[in-house]
Amino acid sequence: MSSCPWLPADRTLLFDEIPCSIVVVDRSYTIVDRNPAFAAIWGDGLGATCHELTRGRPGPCSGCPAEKTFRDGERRVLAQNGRDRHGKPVHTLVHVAPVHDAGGSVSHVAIMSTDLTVTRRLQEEYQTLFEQVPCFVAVVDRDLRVVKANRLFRRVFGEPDGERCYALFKHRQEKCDDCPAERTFGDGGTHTSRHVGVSRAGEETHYLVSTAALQPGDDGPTHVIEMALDLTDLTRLEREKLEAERLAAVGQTVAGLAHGVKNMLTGLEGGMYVTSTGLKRGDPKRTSQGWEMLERNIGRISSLVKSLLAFSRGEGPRPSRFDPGEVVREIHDLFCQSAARHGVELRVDAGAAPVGPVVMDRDGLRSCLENLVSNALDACLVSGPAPCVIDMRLLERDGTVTFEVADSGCGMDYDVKQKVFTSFFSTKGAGGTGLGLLLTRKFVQQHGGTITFDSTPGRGTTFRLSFPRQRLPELPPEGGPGATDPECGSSRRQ
Amino acid sequence: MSVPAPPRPRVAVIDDEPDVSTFLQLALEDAGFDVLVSNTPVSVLQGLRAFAPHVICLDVVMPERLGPSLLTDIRRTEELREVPVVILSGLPDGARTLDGLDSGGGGPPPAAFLEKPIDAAALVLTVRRLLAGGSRARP
Repeated sequence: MSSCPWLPADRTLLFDEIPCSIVVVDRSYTIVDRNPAFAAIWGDGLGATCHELTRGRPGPCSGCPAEKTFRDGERRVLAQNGRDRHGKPVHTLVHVAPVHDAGGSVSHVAIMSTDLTVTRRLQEEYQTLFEQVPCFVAVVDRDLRVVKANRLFRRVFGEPDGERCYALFKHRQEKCDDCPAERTFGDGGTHTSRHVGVSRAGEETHYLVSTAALQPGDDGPTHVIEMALDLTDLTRLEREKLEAERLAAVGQTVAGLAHGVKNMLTGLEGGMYVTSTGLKRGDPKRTSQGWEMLERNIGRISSLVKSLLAFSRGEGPRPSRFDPGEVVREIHDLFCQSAARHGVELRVDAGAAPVGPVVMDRDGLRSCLENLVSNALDACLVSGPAPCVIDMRLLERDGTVTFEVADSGCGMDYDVKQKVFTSFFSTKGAGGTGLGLLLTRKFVQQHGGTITFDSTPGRGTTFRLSFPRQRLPELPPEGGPGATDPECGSSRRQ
Repeated sequence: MSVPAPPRPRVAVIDDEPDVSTFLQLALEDAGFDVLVSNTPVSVLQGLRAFAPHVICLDVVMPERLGPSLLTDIRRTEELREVPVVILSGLPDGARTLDGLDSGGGGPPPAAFLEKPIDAAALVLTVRRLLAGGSRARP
């Protein structure tokens, strides 16, 4: 323990134990006392001058605070940078205090240094992070005034100058409706939301902002830090990608439509040729054949136009109550002969339990199943010589009625799967308008259902139309359009 | 005793649309060709080998589907490798369609492209030119 004539005895313990280095120098800057913390950094030091010991200088340092205090008797506080006895940089907060003799003169100066090296390093790291992080960072007070902003923020939105964040970010006069900073002030939690701001150059700026509480107090945080990730380029790329996809879809749609129409035109061209040559030769059979070709292709064009119109005008379903199994059987009867001609077996599996009546657009359901079976048949036709089977299933489980059409045909590869619900996409050339599955999906959605499919190239495809009963449409009021209930003899749902 | 008529040139038509293939068949038969029609590309190779066509008219259907793969199969079939193929398509860019199909199977590329709707006279003219050993007819 040191003996400190300039300190009251009861403070000597504090002198020795305080976690700061304290050194006392006389007017010649000779160290006359120091505490253990000082000795731990600089060595014993007694009898040496402070400038020799701490700076290796032969004379007093320029601007020496001790010299100033000797001169004016004032206390002073300052930050100092130096090196310890091992040469490592040391950052200290220095308090300089005069020690008076009995006559009231400043005989000594006590210099107390707090080592801030670690704190300083952390501060520098924090500052670097704050300034260099590729986000807009702002600290706002409870009044939403920006008290600090990082470099990127200042560059894009300008110097804060006490402005509020909404004025800087968005040039607004009032705070934002969904202000995440305000929510953080309210609950101390972290909040994130996406915003569109305006840079100081007037450019639209998209950002995702997250807020976190700073300096939490009894009344909640005093400040909130806003960290905003600049999404402007990403948003632009997203828009460009969407636009490119839209243009591609338009191009694909137009190309698909043109392709389909051209096939129909070829059919018409053929009909005219056959009719014309039949007439010239006086061959009624050939004339009739050509006429049928004309009728068929005019019908197909008409059908395509109707499908396009039906799809575009958003016509609603015309619900009625009917037996779904009956529709399944109708579709089976419609296709079974043509399937058999192509060596395809078309089967109906009514399921273990009968499915009760449903309220749906009967014609729409029929068109959907017709479309699915037609597709399945085509998949079988291109699948190769192996026997092919199409199974139609109707089942109900947990209040959901499901229609399944499963084929063991060619299946779909990845590319085809991706395009299944794309308008005018068809693998059937002139045989398909490319609207069938699109219309089917629309029908299913109108009835609150879902359409799904599984497909494996070379193994086949299964399409499922599932309709939860509670989401099926209601029967229209009695006497209204589509208010038919042949089974129950009533227009009301029972 | 009459002199037997010389054998008629044989043309195969492969198109999945019956009205189109019927039209092409009648137009080609009227022009004096023997015509084999196939509406399903499946198993068509066996029929083609037996028919031994001098020209094949092939619908590419959709570019990534049946037509190209069938063209590849034709080019890989020894008896059919050198047979001139006329591509029929509703796709508008004939030159690009031809280039896109050039690499199929290692044989010669398609000899001609006809865009739908097909004119009977143009089809007959194209087939006759190919039978006469005419140069590749680009659209």
